[in-house]
Amino acid sequence: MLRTSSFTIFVNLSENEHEALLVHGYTGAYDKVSRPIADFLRSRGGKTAAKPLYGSWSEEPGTREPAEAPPDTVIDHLYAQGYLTELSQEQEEAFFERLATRLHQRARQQPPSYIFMPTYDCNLRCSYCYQDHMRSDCSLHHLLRAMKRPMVDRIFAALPKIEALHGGEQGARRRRSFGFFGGEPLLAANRPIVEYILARALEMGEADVWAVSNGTELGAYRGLLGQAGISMVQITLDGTPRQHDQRRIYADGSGSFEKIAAGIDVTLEQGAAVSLRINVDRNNLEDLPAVARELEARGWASHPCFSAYTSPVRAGNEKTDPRGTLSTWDLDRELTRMRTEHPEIEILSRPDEGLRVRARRIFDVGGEILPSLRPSFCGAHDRMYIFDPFGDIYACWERTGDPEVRIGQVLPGGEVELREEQLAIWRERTVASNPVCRRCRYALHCGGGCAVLALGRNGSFNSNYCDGFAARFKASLAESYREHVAGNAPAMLRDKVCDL
Amino acid sequence: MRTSRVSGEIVRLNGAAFRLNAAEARAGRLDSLVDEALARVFGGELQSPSCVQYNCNVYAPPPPPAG
Repeated sequence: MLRTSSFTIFVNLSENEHEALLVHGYTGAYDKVSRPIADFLRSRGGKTAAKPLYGSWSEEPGTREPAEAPPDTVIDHLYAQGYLTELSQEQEEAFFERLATRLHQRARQQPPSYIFMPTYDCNLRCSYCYQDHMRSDCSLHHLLRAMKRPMVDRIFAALPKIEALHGGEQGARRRRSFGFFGGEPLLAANRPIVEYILARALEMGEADVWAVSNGTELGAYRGLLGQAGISMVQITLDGTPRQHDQRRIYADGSGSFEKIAAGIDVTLEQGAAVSLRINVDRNNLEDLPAVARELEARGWASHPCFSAYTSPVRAGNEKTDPRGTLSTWDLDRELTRMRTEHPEIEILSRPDEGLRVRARRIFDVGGEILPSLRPSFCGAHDRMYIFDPFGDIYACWERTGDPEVRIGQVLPGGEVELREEQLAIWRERTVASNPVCRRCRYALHCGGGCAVLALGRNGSFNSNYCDGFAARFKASLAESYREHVAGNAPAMLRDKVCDL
Repeated sequence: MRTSRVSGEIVRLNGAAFRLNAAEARAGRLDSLVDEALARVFGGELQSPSCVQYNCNVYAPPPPPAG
């Protein structure tokens, strides 16, 4: 007898109790069904699905009646979409594990993306910075040296070897991705080395070049910003000028808002996109309407190259009180709540806007779209190479500066020496590599969560970091469907650089 | 919207990327099932620019600025 797939996701529609959405966790199918059909599928379900180790999955409503089987045409459709299966729960889990592993193997063959860290140094001293120790611990002072030209040459000599590892042909001309990260990569003093890296990158062919910058010294980058150079800069503000200047401060305690504002103006004027990140915790949450008004007043909100998104502050060091932080789910809900009273904050993307936009695309276009199924959480697990000023290679920028966790290094002749043990730790973390994600119906939509946050919470890289994903996914789909039915215009969303 | 009403009680919003082969499933031949599924996803009629989304992640390069 056919059973309901363990990877069937039921999404209740808050304003429509007669229908529900179905999503399949690995086939990518989406359907709207009547409540009796949803009840039928629930009645054919097996044992309770695996629960995450923490966080909460909203409770599924129970079936109302012993469900009656629908007509054969409906059964055939439910089978074709994957909601009904002949596989036992164990077989399906094994199938899922192999599918996710193979998808990840394919992802690892994608062309690599590169991030250069010209320096670990930074001119700001934000209290919550996860790299705070690099600037405050004298024993780590050596880390603050900037990258030199011979190191850049050495790294560029290594890139074809890295591309060969991904199946790329030596010297192939293709569009590449280069990022700048730090420390603060775009310090005025770094301009010569950044310009040199940029020139070397563009010599290889077309490239998307972006940077994560605190924005304070972007005036020194005129001529390098724009479509032909650094085409996107992610810049962070922490609230209104008053709030921001208490949080993102220089070593002497002075604020940075106006310098950053000038940097945003320069970036937009030069034709590069600005992705403004607003770090939010319980202390500045209620200031967001004022932030939105500030963005409007400065003329940024209506600029075609400007977008702004919110991100929860994580307790990344001991100076950050976890009780003052918000989870992604908390922040998303708070912003949704505040939109009713303060519609001006709609210019600030909520953390789950990406989920909504992707769902909306399926509802609006439909048919044969493959949803964004993710066998792993981010590029740290497949194709990202981060080069620091010393030629050390890292997989994730949250774990740079500690040679113990580097995945390799670039040797003086441009040879690449990879450390198999560390490489395996980073590149083999998938939704199939831990027992919770392996049984989770949401896993290929979530990617297993951030490895660094999972390590912090569970003490293990190969563990889940759910961040309330199930509730977020269902709420996002329900809202998107409601907006679709109402015919409201879909939100626009520019890609973020990193969610962490 | 390219959806299809299957019956009065069900509307297909998006098709499954692949369908499990019933005979292979009954026989528990999981590797064959995975091979067929991936062939359909990446090499079959669903091959399209949107297929790259199967591997999208948050570090994907940002789009170039609008015009």
